Amino acid sequence: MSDVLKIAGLSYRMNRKEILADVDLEVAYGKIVALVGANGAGKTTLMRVIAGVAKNYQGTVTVAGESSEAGRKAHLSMTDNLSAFADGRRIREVKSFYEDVFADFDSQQFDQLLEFMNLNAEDKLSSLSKGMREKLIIALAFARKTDLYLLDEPFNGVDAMSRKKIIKSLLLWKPDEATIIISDHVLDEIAPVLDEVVLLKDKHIIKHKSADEIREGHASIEEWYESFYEGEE
Amino acid sequence: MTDFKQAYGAMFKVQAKKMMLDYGICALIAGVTWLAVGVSTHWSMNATFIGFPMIVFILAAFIYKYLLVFRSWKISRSQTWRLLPVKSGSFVLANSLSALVNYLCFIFLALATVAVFSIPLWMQMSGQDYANMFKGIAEANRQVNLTATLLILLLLLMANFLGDVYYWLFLADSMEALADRLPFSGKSAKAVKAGIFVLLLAFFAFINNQFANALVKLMGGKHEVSLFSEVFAPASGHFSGNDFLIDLLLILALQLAYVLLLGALQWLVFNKFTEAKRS
Amino acid sequence: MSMEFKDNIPIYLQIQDYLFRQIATGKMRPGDKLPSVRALAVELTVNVNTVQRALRELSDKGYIYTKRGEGNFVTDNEDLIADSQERLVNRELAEFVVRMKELGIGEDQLVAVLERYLQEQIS
Repeated sequence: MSDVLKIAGLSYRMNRKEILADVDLEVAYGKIVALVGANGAGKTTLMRVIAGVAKNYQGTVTVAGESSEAGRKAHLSMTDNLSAFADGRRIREVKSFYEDVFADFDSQQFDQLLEFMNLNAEDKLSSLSKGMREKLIIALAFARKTDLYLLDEPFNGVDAMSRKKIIKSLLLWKPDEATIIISDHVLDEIAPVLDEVVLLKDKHIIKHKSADEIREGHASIEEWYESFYEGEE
Repeated sequence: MTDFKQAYGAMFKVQAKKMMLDYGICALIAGVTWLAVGVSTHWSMNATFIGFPMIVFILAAFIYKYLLVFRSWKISRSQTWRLLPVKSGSFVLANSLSALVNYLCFIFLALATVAVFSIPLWMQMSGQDYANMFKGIAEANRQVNLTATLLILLLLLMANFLGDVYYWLFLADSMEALADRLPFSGKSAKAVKAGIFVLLLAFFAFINNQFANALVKLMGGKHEVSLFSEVFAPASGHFSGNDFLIDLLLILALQLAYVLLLGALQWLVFNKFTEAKRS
Repeated sequence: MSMEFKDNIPIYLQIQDYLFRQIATGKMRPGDKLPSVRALAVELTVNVNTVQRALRELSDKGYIYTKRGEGNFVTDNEDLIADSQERLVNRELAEFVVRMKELGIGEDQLVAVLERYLQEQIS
């Protein structure tokens, strides 16, 4: 099967500053991949470009064979920052919205995920802690049956218990052939579930390795990652 | 893929919820005014008790238009909405049309409310009063086809609204697109954006003005169009029968062409440049 | 069945080793059905691909077999299991010898030291 994600020669600028320069990346179906890099390295930007919510880039991006923005969006599910919903809205209203607009949204799966995450459909968004909010975002992302899941820093500021829940949910609900790309600047908890690691540094992808390859070299993924920042402080 | 109908449906729902609340507030204020004036003038037939609520609704309609434009803008910049697998054209069309239909609903509700408020007046009118009223309407209808005129005016209202939506969205999106190309971020970016906005506003208003004046001259009128106008003032002053209708139709056609142009421009900028907000 | 994984050794090897031990020590009996791949992955909090690789290796070596549509099962081959027990014992012994050497106890002294230790435990 060809790659679920293919990026060639991607460059992106904002406010006259180059954020991504000549990025190439190919990711196969069925993988769990970490996109790592320091804060501000451009991980979120890269995901936004893939998802078509950032524009003004050069190069090509293809998801499941589709290059057009709408085409790509139909084959990917990205963590939603819930910007469209006011604080007073309840989770069931968010669910209703998703049911209306996404053909691949599975309501039953969402209900199962909600239960797994110990969330209630009647909860108001404003009443959710950071961890609960992040779990809801993951539940929404995985209730959609699609080819590529983009999780943008899903563990930021999230408590340890919620992090464990989120990781378990990835393993339970990822469709076999689908790929998940998780961006993070810390690796500890997700390391055991990774198939591959992609390192974004100095505006492009300097390394793309399988997790096993790294460990066969007797380094932990964290050690390997940190080795690229030696001498920098 | 999310098609136009689904996008429109979702956007309409969101706008409609807020519309009911906004209408409710207006109706409350208008109702209080109606009661106060009505009671104090003993529901006199000079109908000031309808006049005041009408003013409330007219003001509200004006404000409400810009509220809808603002909400449409928020939707076009929201990451949740922008992640929908919808083509740019469908998105822009769904966004503006759902705002338009909500606007019409608001207007309709306002008119219905004013009609209800007029009941004390209807109750006071004698048979002769009604007869006179109908005679007056028939007379006017002989001068110029009332139904057609009202229809065209309604279409003009809709075109004007759409024109405004596209105009302001195009302005805001152009501002963002330009600001993204300048080396300013953070606080200075806000100042720069404000500056660009004012410059663009002046520039577009100037273009608008030139355009409108050219058209007015084309239609043989003598009056200059005022600065910052987005609606074409009726070019000619005559009121006689078919000529009036034809003039109105001409204005409508021009307005529609203007809306199409602005819509196309807005779609171009939206498709190529407008990003979803980061947070 | 929960594990802490070392992150500098391929995880599939660690899972493989763990299951190997379970079989060799009899904690998993011949013919026992293994949990599904996904269940194992979730239980251990590892990737499904990782579990699959570990199971493939074990299957290649003959410790488990797959029944189409039913799942994975521990082998009935008693000889192979006895052999694996022997391998494990040898592995432990090898490590023991190396560690004792590090403490200054050479191979020739090993038996004597061990006997003395075991005597002390009885009394």
